[in-house]
Amino acid sequence: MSKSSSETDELYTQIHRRMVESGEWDRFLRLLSSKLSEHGWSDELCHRAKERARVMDPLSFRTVLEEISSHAQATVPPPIRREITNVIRQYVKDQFEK
Amino acid sequence: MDTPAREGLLTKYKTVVAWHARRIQDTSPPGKRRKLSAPTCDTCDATLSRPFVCLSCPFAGCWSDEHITSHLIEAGHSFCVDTRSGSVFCADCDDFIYHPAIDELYLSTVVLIEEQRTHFQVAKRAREHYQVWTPNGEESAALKDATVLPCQGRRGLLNLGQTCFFNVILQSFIHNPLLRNYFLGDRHNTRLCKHADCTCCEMDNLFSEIYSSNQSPFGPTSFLATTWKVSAEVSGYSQQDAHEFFITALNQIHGTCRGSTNISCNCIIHQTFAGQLQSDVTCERCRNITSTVDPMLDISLELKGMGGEMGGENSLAGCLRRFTKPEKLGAKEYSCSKCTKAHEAVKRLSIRKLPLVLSFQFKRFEHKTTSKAVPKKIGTPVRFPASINMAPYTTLVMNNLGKDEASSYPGPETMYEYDL
Repeated sequence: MSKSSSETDELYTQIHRRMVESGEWDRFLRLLSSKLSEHGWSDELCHRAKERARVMDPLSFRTVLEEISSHAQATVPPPIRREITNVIRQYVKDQFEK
Repeated sequence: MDTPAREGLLTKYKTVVAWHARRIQDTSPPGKRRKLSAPTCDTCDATLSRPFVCLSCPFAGCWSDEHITSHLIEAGHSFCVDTRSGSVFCADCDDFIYHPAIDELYLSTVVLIEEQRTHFQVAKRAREHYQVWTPNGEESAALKDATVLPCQGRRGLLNLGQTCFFNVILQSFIHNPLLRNYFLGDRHNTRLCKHADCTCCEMDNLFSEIYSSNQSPFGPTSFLATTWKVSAEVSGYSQQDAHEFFITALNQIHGTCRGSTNISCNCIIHQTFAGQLQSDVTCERCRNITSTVDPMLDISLELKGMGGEMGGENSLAGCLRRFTKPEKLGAKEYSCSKCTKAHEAVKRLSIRKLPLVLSFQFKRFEHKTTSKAVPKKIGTPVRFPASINMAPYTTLVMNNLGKDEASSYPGPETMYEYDL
C-alpha cells in the first residue's frame, strides 16, 4: 500500500497531534526517561555535557547541544530503543484501527 | 528594562510555567480519556510537544526548526521561554540566560501548582502552602552582623583505628540537610541536656566542629567513646558493619532526643528517615488479602534472586523491582485467617510511606546455610542513578495498576523524585 509523501505527512501530523493531546507523548517520554536513567545514560550525558562546558570558552548552549546530541543518539542502548519503538508502533497501529 | 515591561514579562513567564506544570500533572495518571488542547507552532502548524513561547507576544513555536528564534529576531522581541524547563532564551545573546529572580519565580510557581494538586490519602486535607521566610526587624538586625559560612560542611575525619565504617556514616549525617538544620539550629543544646553519654550532644558537637573555622581533619574521639559506651557490639578496634552502626546511631539519637516516644515518634530521626513498609499476603484459595504495616528506617535490598543466581539487572531499580515482586509462600508457611486452612499464598512488599530521606542497604553478605564458614561478600557493583522516581514501588501506585481510571491520584510526580 503506497501513499504519496504529502499524504504520509498529513497522517504523521494527525497522529502526532493525537499523541500529544491525549497525553500519550508525555507518558512515552516518561517511560523512555526512566529506562535511560536506570541504564545510566542520562547521568553519563550530564557528566559529558558538564565536562565539555567546563573547558568551553565562550560557553554556548547551542555548541554544547550540537556536540552531545550526536553522542546521545548513538549511545541509546539497543534494547531500550527497540522497546520504545515497539510501544510507539503499537500506538500508531491502534490509531489506524479506530 | 523599564518596570512595566519587566512586570509584564514576569507575569507572562509565570502564566506559561503554571500552564505547563498543570498540564504535566494532568497527563500523569494513565488511562485518562480526557483530551488536552495542545498549542501549535505559529510558523509551521505542527503540534508542539515542547512549546517555546515568546514573552512579549502570543507567538509559540518549535525550537528544533528555529521557528521561535526566527520570530524573536524578526519581531524584535528579546526573550522566549521553554515551557518544560522554564529556561529563558535571549535573542541578543543567542543563548539561555540565568537570573535568580527567574529561578525563584519558576520554583515558587511550580510548587504552588503542585500544592494544589496534592491530596493526602489519610487526612483528606490540602497541602500546606509554602511560605518563604522573611526576617522580621529583630532578625534582620541580628543577621546584619553575622558572618556567612558556606553550607557545604567539608572537613575531613581522622581514622581512629579501623573506624572508616564510623566516619562514613558520620559524613552522611553531616551532609544531610535536615539533620544539619536541626543541630545547627540549636535544637539540642548540650548545656541544657541532662542525659549522660548523650549521642544527641555528640551530634551537636560534631556539627559545631565541622562548621568551625578550623578546617584541619577532625578526630571524632568523644563520639566514638560515647558510641562504645552505649553499644557494646560496636566497641573495640575491629572492623564493624557500617549499616549496623547506622541503625545503632539512629536509635541512639532518637533515644536521647527531647520529645521522642516509642510509638509514632516525631523526633528528628523519625521525621527524616522513618517510612512504612506494607506486606500484603493473598491467600490463593479465597483471595483474601491480609495487610501488615511495619515501620522502617531504611530498605534492605537483596542482590541475589530467589534462585540464587545474580539477576541480569544490576541497578537500583532492578533491586527495587525484585524487592516488590510477589513471592510465593509455601503451604506450610501461611494459614489464611478467612478460610482457616494452610494454603499456598503470595506475599508482596511495597512502600506505604516514603521517608524524606530514603536509605538503602545492599545485602552483600551471603550466609551459607550449609556450612558454618564466614559469610561470603557479594562484590557485584550495583548501578544507581543520580535521581530516581519511587512511585512504582509505593503501595498506592502498585494497587492502582490495571485500573482504567485512576481511582486515587498519586500526586505530582515530583513528590516521588529522589535525588542522590
